[in-house]
Amino acid sequence: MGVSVRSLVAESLDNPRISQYIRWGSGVQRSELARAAHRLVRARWKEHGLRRYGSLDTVLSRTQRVEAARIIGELEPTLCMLAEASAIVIQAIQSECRGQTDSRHVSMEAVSGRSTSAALHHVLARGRLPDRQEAKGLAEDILAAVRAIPETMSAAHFEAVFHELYEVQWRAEGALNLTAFPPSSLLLGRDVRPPLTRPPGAPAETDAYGTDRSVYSRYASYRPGDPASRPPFRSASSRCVQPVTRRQHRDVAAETVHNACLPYGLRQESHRAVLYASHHGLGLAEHPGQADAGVGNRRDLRRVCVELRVDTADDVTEMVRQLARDRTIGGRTPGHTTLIEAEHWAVDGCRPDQFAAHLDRITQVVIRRLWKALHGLELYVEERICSCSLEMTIKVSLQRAVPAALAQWDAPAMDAAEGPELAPEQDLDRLMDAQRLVDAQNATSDLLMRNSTVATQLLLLQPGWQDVYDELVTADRRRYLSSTEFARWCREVVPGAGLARGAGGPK
Amino acid sequence: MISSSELIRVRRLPSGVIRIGTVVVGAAGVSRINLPGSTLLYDPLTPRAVPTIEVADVASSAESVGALLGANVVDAMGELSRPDADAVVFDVVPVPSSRLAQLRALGYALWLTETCPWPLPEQLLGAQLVAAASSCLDLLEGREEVRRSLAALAGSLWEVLAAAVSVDTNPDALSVLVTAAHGVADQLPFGDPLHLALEDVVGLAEVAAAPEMNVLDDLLRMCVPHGSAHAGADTAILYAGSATADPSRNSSGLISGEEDAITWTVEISASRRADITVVGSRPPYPRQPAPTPLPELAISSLLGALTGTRRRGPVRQVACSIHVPSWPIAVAEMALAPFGERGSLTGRVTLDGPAADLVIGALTAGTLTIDVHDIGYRFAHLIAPDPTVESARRWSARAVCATRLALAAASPELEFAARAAWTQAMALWGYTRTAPGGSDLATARRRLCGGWLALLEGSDGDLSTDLDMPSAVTVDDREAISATITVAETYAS
Repeated sequence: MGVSVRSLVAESLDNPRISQYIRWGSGVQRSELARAAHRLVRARWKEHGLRRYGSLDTVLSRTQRVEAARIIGELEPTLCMLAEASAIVIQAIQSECRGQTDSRHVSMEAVSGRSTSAALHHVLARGRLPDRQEAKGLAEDILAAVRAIPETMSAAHFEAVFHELYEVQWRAEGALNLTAFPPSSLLLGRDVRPPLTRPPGAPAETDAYGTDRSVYSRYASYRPGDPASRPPFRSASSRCVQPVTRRQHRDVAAETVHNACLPYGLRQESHRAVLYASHHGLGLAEHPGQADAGVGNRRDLRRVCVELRVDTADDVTEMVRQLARDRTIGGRTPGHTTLIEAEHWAVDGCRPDQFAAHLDRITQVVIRRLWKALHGLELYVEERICSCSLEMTIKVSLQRAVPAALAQWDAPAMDAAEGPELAPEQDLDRLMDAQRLVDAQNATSDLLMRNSTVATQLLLLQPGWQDVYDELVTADRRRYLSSTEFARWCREVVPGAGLARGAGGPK
Repeated sequence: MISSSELIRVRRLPSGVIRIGTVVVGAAGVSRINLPGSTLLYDPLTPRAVPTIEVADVASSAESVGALLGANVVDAMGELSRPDADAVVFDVVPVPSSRLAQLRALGYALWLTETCPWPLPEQLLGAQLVAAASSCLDLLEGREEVRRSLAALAGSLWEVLAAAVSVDTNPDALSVLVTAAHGVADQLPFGDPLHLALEDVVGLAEVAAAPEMNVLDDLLRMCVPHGSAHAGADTAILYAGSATADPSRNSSGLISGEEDAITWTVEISASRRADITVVGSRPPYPRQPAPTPLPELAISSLLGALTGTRRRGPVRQVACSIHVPSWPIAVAEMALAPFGERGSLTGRVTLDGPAADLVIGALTAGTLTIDVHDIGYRFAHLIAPDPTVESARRWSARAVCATRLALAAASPELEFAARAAWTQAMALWGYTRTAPGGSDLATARRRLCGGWLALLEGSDGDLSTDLDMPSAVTVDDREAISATITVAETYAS
C-alpha cells in the first residue's frame, strides 16, 4: 500500500496530544484540522525547495515519503498548538452563544472551519495560544460573519408567515396545476397538495418523498453558501461548459411557496420536459415496448411535450435510453426482462430477473431523485440543468435504484405515520386498513383463478386488461382491489407485468 | 516489484459502473453507504479488506475516492471513464485512508441494524448507528439530510441519557450513548435548548451498571441447527412443513428469527377443501422495549438518509402469504393473530375451488411456499431469492456475529455455536452451487465461510490471489476482528 501526504497527515492527527482535541465533544473537527495541516505541509514543502508532490492523494516516492515524514514531524508542535487553539476558540464561541438570549442558529458546522482558520492565523502570527481576551475577540469576529448569513426560518415561523399566502396561491393556481399535471403520472408523488410543513416528530423527508415533500422542507434545503463554490446538483465534470449564474437577492421562502403551486413544483418549463423525457426515456413509461420501434414512444412524447421543449426532451430521451441500454442485460424487446446491472444487486438474490417486478419503484426512485435535483438547481442557479448534471443524476440514481426499490414498500402503517394531511379523499384505496387490503387481495386472486381464460392478460397487464378487469369486478367492486391497486400489485410481484406493448396503468 | 497484496483492482463493468476493489459476494449480506457519486459496499465477512466502491459518476466521486484511496485510484477511474478507453481494468497501488475505519464502523452498524442476526438491544444499536454516522458526515452524500435526521434524535437521546444516568448503567453502554449524544449535539445550534440540555446530561453521565439484557442464549440456540416441531397433532395432518421469517421481510420482531420457527399444516378434506394453519413462534425473549427507546421513525429516517431509501415505518402486524409456482400472485394471504399462553401468532384460511387445487398440486410436488412477512409487504415469490440462499445468508450472518463474540470473549460455548453455524452455512452454500448461475458466487461465498471456520481453528482459509475476488480472513485478523466488537454485541452477551 502506498503513502500520500493526506495519509501521513491523518496518521499524525492520531497523536494523542492532538486527538484529545478532536475526540467527541471537544468541538474541533478532524477534517478542518487536516485541511489546515495540509496547508502547512504544502507551504513548508515549498520552503524546502522540494519537487512538488502533485495532489494530496498522490502516492509518494520513497524520497518524498522521507521528506514528508520529516516535515510533518517538524510541524507536530504547531499542529498540537493549533488543535488546542481551535478548541479554545470554539469554547469561546459556545460561551458567547450561551450568554445571548436571541435564537440565532449558530451551529458547529457554521463555526468549525472558521475557528480552525482563525486559530491557524493566530498561532502562525503569535506563536502561542490565544488568551481569554483574544479568544473572545476571535469568537466575536466569527459570530459576526456567521450572523451575516441569512437565517433559515423555523418551521413554525414559516407556517405562521406563509399559511395564508399558500392557501390563496393554491386556490388560484396550485389546485388547477395539480389537476392538469398530476405528479402520480410521472411517479413523482401523490396527487395531493404538498403540506406546508410537517407535524413535529414526523420523519425527516428524504429524496423518496418527491413532490410529497413539504414546502418548508423544500425551502429549508436551500443553503446560501460560498458564491465561489460549485452549486449543489451541478456536475463536477471538467468537460461541462454551461455557464453558472447564481441566483441572488430574492425572498427564497416566498418564492418556494409560489413554486409549490406550479406544475410539479418547478419554475422552468424545460425542467418539466426533462422529467417527462426521463420518465419515458427510462423505458418504463406507458409504452415501453414501443421504444425500440422508434415511433410510438417518441410520438407519445411529442404529444405530451408539444408545448414544451421537444428538442430538449428528445435529447434527454436519447441519453436516458442510452444509459439504460448500457446497463441492460438480455433482450430489449417487449416481455424481456430489463436488468440494470450493478454488482451489488446480485448479492440480494443472484437472480438475473430480479429487476422485473419492481419497474415502477425503480422509475420512482430515479424520477424523484431527478426532481429533487431539478428543484435544487432552480433554487441556486438561473440556468436549466445541463446534460452533464442530468447524466450524473440519472447514472447515480440508476445505480442505486434497485437496492432502494427492494428496501421499501408502502406499508399502511407508514402512510398513517405521515399524518392525516397526506390522506386525500381520492386516495382512499391506498389507505384501506391492512385487513381490508388482505381480504381484497384474496378475493381478487380467487376471482382470477376462477376466470383462467383472462388471467394471463390481467396478470401481465396486457393491452385491454383494464376493460376486462372492470367487467370482472363490476358485480361487487368494493370486494375486490381497485384497478389501480391491482395494477400496482401485479407490477410489484409479477415478472414482466406492464412490459407488454400498450400496457399501462389505469386510464 | 509490487506484490498483489499491495494492489487494488479498478474495473469498468459492462454497465459503465466502475468498481474499485473486489466483487462483493455478500455471503451474510452487505450494507451500502452512499458517497458522492458512488456507493460503498461493506461486507462483514471481509472486515479488514478495503471496502468495495462502485462509482456511477467519476467527476462527483473523485474527491471522496481520492481522500479514501489515493490519487492513483482516481487516475485509473478517469482513464476508464474516457469514451475512447480500451482498457477495462487497472491494478493500482492505493493509499487507504484511516477514515476507511470510520466507514467500516458505519457499514457494520448498518448491517447489524438491517440484518438483525439475533436480537440486540435496539437502543444501543441505534446509538451506535448515530455515533458512526456522525463520525463520517463529511464523507457522505446527502449530508444535510443525514444532519437533519441526526438532529431530530436530540430530544430522544437526551431522554435516554437522562434515564441512563439516573440508574446504574453499564459504563460501556453509557459511553456509546454519550458518543451518540455528542454526534447529535454537534448538529444543533449552540443556542438551542436541547443543545444545552444534552451538554448538561452528558456532563452528568457517570460510570454505573445497567439492567441486564441477556440474549446470549438466543444466539447460542440460533446457531445450532435443530428440527422443528409441527403445529397440530400428527394424526389429523395430511401435509406439514416449516418456514423461517426472513429478517428482510420481517421488521416487527413479533416472530422468532430462528430457523423453522414457523410451522404449517394443510388438511385436505374429501370435498377438496384445503384448510391451512400457520403458527409462528414468538421470540423466546421478546423484545423488551427500553424504558426510553429511541423512536423507530427517527432511526428509520436516519437509515433512509444514509442509504437513500425510504424505509418502512414501524410495522406491528404480521401476515402470511401462500404461493405456488404456477400462480404469480399470492393464492391467499392472512393476518396472523396472537394465540395461546405463549402468544404465538397463528392464522388459518380455508381454500376451495381452483385455489385449493393449486395448493394440493404444489403440496404433491413439494413446491408450496409459505412466507411470513410484515403486513403490507408483497412477496414476489417468482423472482425472490432462492430460499436456500436466504437460509445460507441467515446462517452466515449468525455465524459471523457468533465468531466475533467468541474471539472477543474467548468463550468455548460461543466458539462451538459459531462452528455449528459456519458448518450449516457452508453446507447450504454448497447446495446453492447447483442452482443455475449460482456456481461461482456460491463457491466464493463458501470459500469465505470456510475461511472464518478455519480462523476459529487457528489456521488460514483459502486465500485468493485474484484481485477481483475477496480473500478469506487469516489468523492475523483475529485481533482486529475482536477489537472491533461493538458495545451492542457485548452488552447483549
